Amino acid sequence: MAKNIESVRNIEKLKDTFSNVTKEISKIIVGQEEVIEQIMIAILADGNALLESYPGLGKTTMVKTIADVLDLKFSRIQNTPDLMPSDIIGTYVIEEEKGKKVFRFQKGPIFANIILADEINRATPKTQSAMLEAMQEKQVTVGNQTFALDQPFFVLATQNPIDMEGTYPLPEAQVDRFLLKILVDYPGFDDEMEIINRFTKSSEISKIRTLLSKDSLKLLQNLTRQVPIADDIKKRALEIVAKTRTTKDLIEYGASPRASIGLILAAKAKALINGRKYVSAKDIEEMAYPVLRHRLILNFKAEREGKSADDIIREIMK
Amino acid sequence: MAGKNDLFQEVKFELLKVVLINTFLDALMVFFVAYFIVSFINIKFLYTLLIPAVITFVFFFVMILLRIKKLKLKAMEDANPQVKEMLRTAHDNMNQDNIMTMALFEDLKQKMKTVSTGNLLESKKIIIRIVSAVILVFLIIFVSSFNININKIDIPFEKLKFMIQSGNNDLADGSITDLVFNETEVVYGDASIAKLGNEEIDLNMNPSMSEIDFNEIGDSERQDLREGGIPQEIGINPDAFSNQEMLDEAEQAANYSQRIKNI
Repeated sequence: MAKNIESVRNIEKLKDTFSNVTKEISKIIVGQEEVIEQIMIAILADGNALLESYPGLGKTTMVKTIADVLDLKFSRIQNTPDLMPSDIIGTYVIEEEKGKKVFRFQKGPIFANIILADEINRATPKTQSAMLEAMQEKQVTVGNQTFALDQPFFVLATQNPIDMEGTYPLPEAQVDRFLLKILVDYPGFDDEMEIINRFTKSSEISKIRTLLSKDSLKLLQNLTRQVPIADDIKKRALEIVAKTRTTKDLIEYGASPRASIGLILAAKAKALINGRKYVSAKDIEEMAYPVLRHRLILNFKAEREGKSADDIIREIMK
Repeated sequence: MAGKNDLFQEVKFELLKVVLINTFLDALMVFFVAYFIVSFINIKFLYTLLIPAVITFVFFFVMILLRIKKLKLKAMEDANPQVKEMLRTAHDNMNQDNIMTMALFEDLKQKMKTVSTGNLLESKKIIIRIVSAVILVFLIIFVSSFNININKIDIPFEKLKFMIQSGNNDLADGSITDLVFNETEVVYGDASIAKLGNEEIDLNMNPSMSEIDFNEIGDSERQDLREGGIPQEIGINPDAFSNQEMLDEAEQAANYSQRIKNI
């Protein structure tokens, strides 16, 4: 009982913990609070995120900083058309051991906690599917041997919205595996001024503290699933997802039940980050955009009218 | 689980308090309105109070029962939007037993301390009710104090006529012909006794001795009462107080005492 009371008291401190994490990240990253929050949501919901942004917006730095603050092993994979699955998963190499030649598995960069898969749409479908399998199953199979990936495991894949030539856009079935699609916009004028000041005055980069351990992150992932949600809020989430399938005048294909699960989980994680012990209807509505925007295939009418997925989600939620 | 149930019991108790306050104010209004209407009916004062009181009691209990039946957490949610989602989530997850749900209930308990009955009372409606009650009270006092002469309505049902006032002193225009006698035995007794009243009585009214002609008022004459006795103007016969009469009465008293003594 006393242990429970202590645990309840610790939950009260969660908001401060997340606030400190954001503050620590902001020592390196200027602005982008919403993006940082959404990445944290994806981590807490034990999902993966697809980041869409223009080059040079500090994605790698951001993810590296988050990995440092959360005490997670970070690796970056630059996807290119000639990147092979074995380049990311790993491969067997021949080694000499006690005069004998033996095969030893050489782990690839996927064996980390946070993976930044840069420009995932430049990799061939074969490599993409190898990575997506790891994302989904949290394990990789090489030959007849299966290797479990270290937990927590989180992939942050980026896509460049421009320069689509020579790319292999992710098939809808694979895009569906990303919990969130996060849009990163250019910083505001003041933020950019701060970035210039921070990175041109001194070559020294502020040192950041590790605020959470792997174990506490796993605990937080468990807590996220325990965040209670009211039945009518659950129904609201389902209604939103179901409407993407029935709004045939603008949407060719709507979101899958995986989207419903994702929406509830993301809303729970958002509630936890904001220090709430329950999911609010506002959480559902705010998370509907990053959860659904990459899962909708718009029809010709919507494209002709210049409507984006976000516009349609907004219309659905009215 | 018990703690969770206590929380909802507490919420319901708060709602019950609100229902009681609202129904009491409504009942007060009903009483005043009923009293105002009943005061125009030709009945005894006791019934003027009793009828509105009975109506009010019936209204109060019926409304309490109806409102308790409708007592829902929704009322608490509507009155306190800051705890609306918390309450709903807590209610839907009562059977869950994990840290987050426990934390939610703890949080809700703290919040409920700040949510008083006052939040549930709609101050605008309460003010309207109180103002209406005050207006009605003033109206009742106004009507009764100015003795507004409105024709009172008689009770149309025979069985209820016992309530009618026996002393009919509220005449329409003060003329004797407007008097309406209710020939009810309960009020007037045996009808045969009333036959005695068939005999005609002649009443001759003479001017009183004490009638004063204000034109003749002046200063009184000085008189010597030591020798002349009591003056005629004050209406007492001085012979009534003569010594002979006093002696006769003294003799009678002595005889009477003697006879008593002998007995």
